[in-house]
Amino acid sequence: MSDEELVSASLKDQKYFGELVKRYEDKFGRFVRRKAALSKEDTEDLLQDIFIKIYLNLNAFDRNLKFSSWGYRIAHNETISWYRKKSIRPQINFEDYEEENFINNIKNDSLEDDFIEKFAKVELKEKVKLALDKLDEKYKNILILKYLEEKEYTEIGDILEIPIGTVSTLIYRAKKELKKYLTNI
Amino acid sequence: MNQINLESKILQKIHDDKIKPKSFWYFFIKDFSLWGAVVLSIIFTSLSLAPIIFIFENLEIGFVKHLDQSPTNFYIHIIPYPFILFAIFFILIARFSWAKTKNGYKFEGKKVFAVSAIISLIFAILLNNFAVGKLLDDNFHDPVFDSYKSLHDRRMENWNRPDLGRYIGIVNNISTSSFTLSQKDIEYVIDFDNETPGMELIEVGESVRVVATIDEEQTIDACIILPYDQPSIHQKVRKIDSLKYVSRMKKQMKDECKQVIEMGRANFLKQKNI
Repeated sequence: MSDEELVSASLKDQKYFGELVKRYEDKFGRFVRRKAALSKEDTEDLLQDIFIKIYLNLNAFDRNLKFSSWGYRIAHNETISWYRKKSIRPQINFEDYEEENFINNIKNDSLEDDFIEKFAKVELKEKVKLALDKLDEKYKNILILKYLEEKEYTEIGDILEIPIGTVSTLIYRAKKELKKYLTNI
Repeated sequence: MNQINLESKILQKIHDDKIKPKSFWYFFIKDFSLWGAVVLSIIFTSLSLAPIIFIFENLEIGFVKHLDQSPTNFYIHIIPYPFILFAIFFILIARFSWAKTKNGYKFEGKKVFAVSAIISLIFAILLNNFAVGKLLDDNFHDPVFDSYKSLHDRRMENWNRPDLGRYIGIVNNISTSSFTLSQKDIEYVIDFDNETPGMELIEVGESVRVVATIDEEQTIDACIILPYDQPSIHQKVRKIDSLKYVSRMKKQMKDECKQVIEMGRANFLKQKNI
C-alpha cells in the first residue's frame, strides 16, 4: 500500500495508521534528533506528539502532496513548538557519518567558488557543526532538509510552506552564511 | 527506538483518549473561510480605492493656482488618508489570508500582493463608473478626527466664492445670452455667448462650475463653464478634462478671462479692485 492509500485506510481503521508510524518513525526520529540533542525519552515524547498531530489532521492531508512532505511539515512545526514550550535554543546533533554525508552533499552541490574544498577534511568536520549551530534557524533548517534529509526543492517548499523561489534564495544565503562562519571559526 | 513500542503506544493512546481525526468539513470550512476573507478583503480594498480614484480624477489641477490656499496645502489636504489607510489594511488582510490558505504558501507574497492590488483596482474602476466612489466620498465621516472633507464639501468651499469670481450651482432659466445659476437660495444671472468654453453644458438642471469676471455694473460674464462631476460619471462631457480643456480653451478666451485663468487669484483680486 502506498502512503497515500494508508492515509485513506487510516481514516476508516486506525490499525493502518500503525503502519504509517512504522514507516516514518525512524525518518522523523532522525530528523528531530538532527535538529537538537534530545534524550531518548524526549525524542519518543516528541515523536508521539508528531504522530498524534498527524492522526488528528489526516483529513487535512492534501493528496497533491507526498505524504512524507506533509509529515515532515508537521514534524518540523511540532519540533519548533516543543522548543518554544521548553524555551531552549535547538542545537545541531549529527552522528559522525551524517557529518560526512552533509559535507559530501554540500560539496556535490558546489558553490560558485567551491569554498568547501579549501578546508582539510578533518578540520571541516570539526568546524561544520559549530558553524551550523551559529546559523539562523531558518538557514539551519533548510540546510538540514537539503543536505541531510536530501529533499528536493519542491519538497522543501512543501515542508517549510514557502514558495520554491524562496527555497533557492534561502539555500543560497544559508550557504553564504555557512561559508562566513566556517572561515571565521 | 523500539518500533513495536512506539506504534502500539500511539495506537493505545488514540484508543484510550478516544482521539479521532478532525472532520473533513472542519478543514473545508477553514479553507473556505480564508478564501472568503480574501474575497471580502479584495472587495473592501476596491471600495476603498474607488473614492481615491474619484478624488484624483477630480483634482482640478488646472485651477490649483486660483484657490485661496497654497498648492502644497491644497495637495496635502486633498489626499484621502482614511481611504488610503483602509486600502492598505484590507490589501494586507487579503495577502495574509491568501498565504494561510491550503496552497497559499506556494505563491510569493509580492506576487499575491500585486495580484490582489490589480484585481482590486479593476473592481474599483468598475465601481467608480457606477459612482460608488462619489457615493462613499460624500457619505464618509471620519469618526476619529472628524476632519475628513468630501470632494463635494471641498468643491463647495473652493467654488462657492462669488467674491473671487467662482460660482457653483444648478443651471435654470436659460435665455440666448444668459442663464441663472442657483446655489441654495441665491441665484446669479450669468452672461455667456457662443464663444464661451463649455457653453454646451448649459442645460436646465445641469450642475456646473463657472469662472467669471464682474464688471463695474456688476454683470457676471462667464469665462469658462466646467462640469461639476468627474468626466467618467458625466457621460455628456466625457472628453472634458479640466486641465486639458482649460488650456485648449484659453486660446479662445477674451483677454481679461485669459488673465484670470493664467494669473490666478491675486490678479483676479487686483482686477476686481480696479
